[in-house]
Amino acid sequence: MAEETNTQPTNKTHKWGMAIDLDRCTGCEACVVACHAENNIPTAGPEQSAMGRAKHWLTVDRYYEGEFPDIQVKYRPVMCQHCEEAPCEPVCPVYATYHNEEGLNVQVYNRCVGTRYCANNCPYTVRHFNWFEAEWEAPLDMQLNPDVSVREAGVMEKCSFCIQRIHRGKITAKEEERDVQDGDIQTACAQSCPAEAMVFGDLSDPDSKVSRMAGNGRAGLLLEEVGTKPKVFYLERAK
Amino acid sequence: MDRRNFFKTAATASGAALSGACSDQAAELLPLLVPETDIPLGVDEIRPSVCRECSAGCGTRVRVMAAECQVQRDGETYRQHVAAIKKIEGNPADPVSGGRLCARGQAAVQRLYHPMRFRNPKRRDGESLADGTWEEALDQVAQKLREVDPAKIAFISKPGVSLRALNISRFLQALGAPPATTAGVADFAVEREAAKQVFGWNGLPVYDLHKADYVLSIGADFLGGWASPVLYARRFGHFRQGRETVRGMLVHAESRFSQTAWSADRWLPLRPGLELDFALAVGRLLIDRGAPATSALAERFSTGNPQAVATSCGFPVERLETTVDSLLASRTPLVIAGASIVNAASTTAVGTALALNELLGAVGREGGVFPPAAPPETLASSRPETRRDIADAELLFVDGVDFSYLSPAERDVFEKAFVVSFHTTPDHTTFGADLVLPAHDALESADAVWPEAAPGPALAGADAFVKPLYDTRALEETLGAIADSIEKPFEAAKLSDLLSRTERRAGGRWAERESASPASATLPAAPATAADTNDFPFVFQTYASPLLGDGSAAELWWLQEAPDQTSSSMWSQPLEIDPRTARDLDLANGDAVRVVSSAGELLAPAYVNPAAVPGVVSLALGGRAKSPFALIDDRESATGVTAMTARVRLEKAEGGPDFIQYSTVDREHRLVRIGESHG
Amino acid sequence: MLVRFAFIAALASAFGFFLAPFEQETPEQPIAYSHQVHIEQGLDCATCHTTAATHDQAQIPSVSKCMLCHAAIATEHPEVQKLAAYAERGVEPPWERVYGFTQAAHVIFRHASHINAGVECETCHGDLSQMTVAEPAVHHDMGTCLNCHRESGASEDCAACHN
Repeated sequence: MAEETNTQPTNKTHKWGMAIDLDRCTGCEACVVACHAENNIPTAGPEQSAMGRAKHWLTVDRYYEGEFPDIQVKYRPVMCQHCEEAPCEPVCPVYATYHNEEGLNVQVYNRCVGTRYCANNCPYTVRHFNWFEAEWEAPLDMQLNPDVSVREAGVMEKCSFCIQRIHRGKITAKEEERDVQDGDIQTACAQSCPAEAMVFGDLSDPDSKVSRMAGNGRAGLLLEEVGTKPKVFYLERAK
Repeated sequence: MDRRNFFKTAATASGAALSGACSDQAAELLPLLVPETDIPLGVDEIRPSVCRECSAGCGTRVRVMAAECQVQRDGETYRQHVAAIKKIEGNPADPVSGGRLCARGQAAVQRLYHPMRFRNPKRRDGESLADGTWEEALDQVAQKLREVDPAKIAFISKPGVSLRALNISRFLQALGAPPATTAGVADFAVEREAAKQVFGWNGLPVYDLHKADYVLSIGADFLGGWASPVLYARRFGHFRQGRETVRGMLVHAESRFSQTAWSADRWLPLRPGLELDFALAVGRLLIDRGAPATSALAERFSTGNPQAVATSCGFPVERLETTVDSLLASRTPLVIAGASIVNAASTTAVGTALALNELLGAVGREGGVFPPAAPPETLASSRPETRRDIADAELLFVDGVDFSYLSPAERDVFEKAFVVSFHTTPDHTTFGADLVLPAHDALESADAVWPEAAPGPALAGADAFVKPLYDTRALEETLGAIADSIEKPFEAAKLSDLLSRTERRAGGRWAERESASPASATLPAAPATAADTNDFPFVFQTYASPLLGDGSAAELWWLQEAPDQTSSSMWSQPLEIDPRTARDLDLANGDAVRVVSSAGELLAPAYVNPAAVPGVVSLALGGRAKSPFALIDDRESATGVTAMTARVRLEKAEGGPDFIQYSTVDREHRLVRIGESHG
Repeated sequence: MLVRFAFIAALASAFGFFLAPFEQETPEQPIAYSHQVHIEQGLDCATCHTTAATHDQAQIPSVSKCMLCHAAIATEHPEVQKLAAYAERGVEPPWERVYGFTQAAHVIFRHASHINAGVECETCHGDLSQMTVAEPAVHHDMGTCLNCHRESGASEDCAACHN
């Protein structure tokens, strides 16, 4: 929370983004579990997982390179990139996914009719469909986060940049009559990362940590050449 | 209840109806009680706690909210508003976790709310466990205690120093029974023994890698779930990119491409068992290139043979030489020594590697290795013993360790002894137990943990803040009742004996490290070398994976479904085989492999791992399938802990357990093979 | 595209998922609690619905809160006796929800931001000083919400309420 408050909140519009420093990331998947815990993501179980229906809004991609003993692995956490030119948005027939003014690619669950065209169009394969009705066998349902709705079968879902946390941060700042400060809002994944590799923040604020990381010489975008204008900056491993 | 199907729903559960506790039907039938919690609906409170998933002892922050559920009180089931745990994060005030938390610690909430949790005591009824009452169960234990010689009582408990361990040790003393012992891989007995032999330290050395600039780690998968995964991952992040002018360089030597290996700048693959030779080779090169050493050290390290080691391990000796040159050239070099995969000579190997720090002047120096802080006297003596032969036990208590899974060679004791488990959910041990007296879940208990590795003296602990869901009892209450029933009472230690109210509210007590006094290294004795055998041409190793640890996290579904970092597998553990061996044996991904050693055999699906050391196959702990320890009967020579390697032969086979992958490297094909049995 | 929308709208009306409010009729309550009586006594909304201004939910209070007064006040009243009977058994009266949203609406409604924006309780819940049993006096559908949001300059972003 801010120790010094601005005299007047400026009602500025944010542009949310993330930066992930792959030189710090160890591939531990604490972020994956944090996301499940925060966002009521159902567990598929072995049978459904075998059918390819395990849902991870955030996965750690891994690619092996080279041969023993010069083997290396490239791994990176990948979630919805909240692309500025998102290929998933124009193809939804019911406008269930759109870009909001804070740069988020929003998924509106109750509009979704399950054509799955959006997932088909996403080059990052970060969209997940609810193929079956999720069940939380009691008492696991006691852990469900009331700030996040529970999705039913037939609905598409994906990383929301923890929009519930964004709302909370903005509401708190408004109650305290100040602007949101850098670091007030942390996505669950960034908050959990032991190596402090993941940073979430406001790209429209040049002094924010995420902006500074985005300007780092090692920073790049995933599949930049496709033209999606993603908002997750990956800082490549230093040499 | 089928022990292999932990994930199955209530349909296969025996005993009391485990119907959906918060289903709508139940909501119509049962009254809603006046709330047990004073947290209003929709309001969240943050409480400190301490994670008990491993012995790192990370301080946590828990988000607690009121939730409606079915609970059991005095034998009846009601709808109730109780305090529910929504999320577990790190406690920013805690110097070990620093506000962060690993996958396992976050998944601990699924242990608290596990659908298969024991709701009341259970007693053996033929092949299965039937419901029992506390009165009957405690009577039975009392009866056994009166019959049995105290010397024949054994207690297997969780590793580490904690309030829980203290109460267990007081209980055993009151009974006149031997001290508790632990089993399995999460005790780090080898590292402790090595530190003791080399520097006379009592506990795990603490590595300040965040202030080092060049680190060589030998055998210690410190990022993957070693002594303190969150602390070392935080330090690693800082080591890499937390400083203005220094980016730390890490070289990691280990017999598999572990999490630390893939995070390092270079991995030096070792053949299992060559860790000692490697450490000697490094020492030899260091001394040859001018590192100062006592004559004793110089003499021992002179036996090092860098070329032989490099040849055996399959990398050019220049890599070893460059590493040594870099160590010498750096301002703050550091060697991290450990045995994530224990073999017969590990104590010597770890001790020798640890002693390299003396050659580098890294003992007690900034960015170096430090002795552990000493726990308070009362707590220190509570640590369970590393190894005790319990084959003759007639009454066996098991708490917090899946003994049957981690030590299958000792399973005979289940035939002879009366086995009492305090575990909260079904595991391999409870399926052989005679009685289950379920303790409260860790999140329902007050506890204090002395972290195994911390920047300074620390004790993480907090009061309980959620009421128990079921008819379970605090362990110290059960132990107290047992001791009272045979007129051998003991005084149970309370959290308030260790931490003041303010400290409990903060989640613990932490202090700065005291300055270290200089130490000089004494190398441990060289062990006898094992004979090579041609019947078993391959080396098998098992290990604690980052997600499932020593297997105790196998009950946590988020962790089973998170793709394994090495093989991308979910709900399954494949045997990692190098491509050449796979080709020679005509094995493709998913094919069943029979792995045979002199101790036993098991079936596993193959995963062709491009990063596997040739001729070395690996299988992670934590499956629903047969324990990898079924293949191992070797012990580490200094500590007596079970080794984690064995010599094996491999055969293509049929059947075997599942192999379910999340994705392969190209994301186009994903392998799934559902086995007909679970091994 | 238009045909598709029409189809969906038809389906939606048929099932009433997207257009119908949570509850159309006044539900029957276990105790004939009268808002009018209590408001006349000087209680205001926040006395019992304590967290409306600070959190997402406003709260239906526990019977133990009622008993703070009713242990001594109006104890002969038959409805208060019903209340006391619940309290004696340590059981909550099974209140029926009057306002809310279906699960399928995926609405996360946050009371606090509305109260702090100056929206009066009556705006959405009607004038309870005239009601005995709580009635769904104000029709809630997405149109109701959006109209007010438009007029007051609040967010019209789907994600503001549906997440």
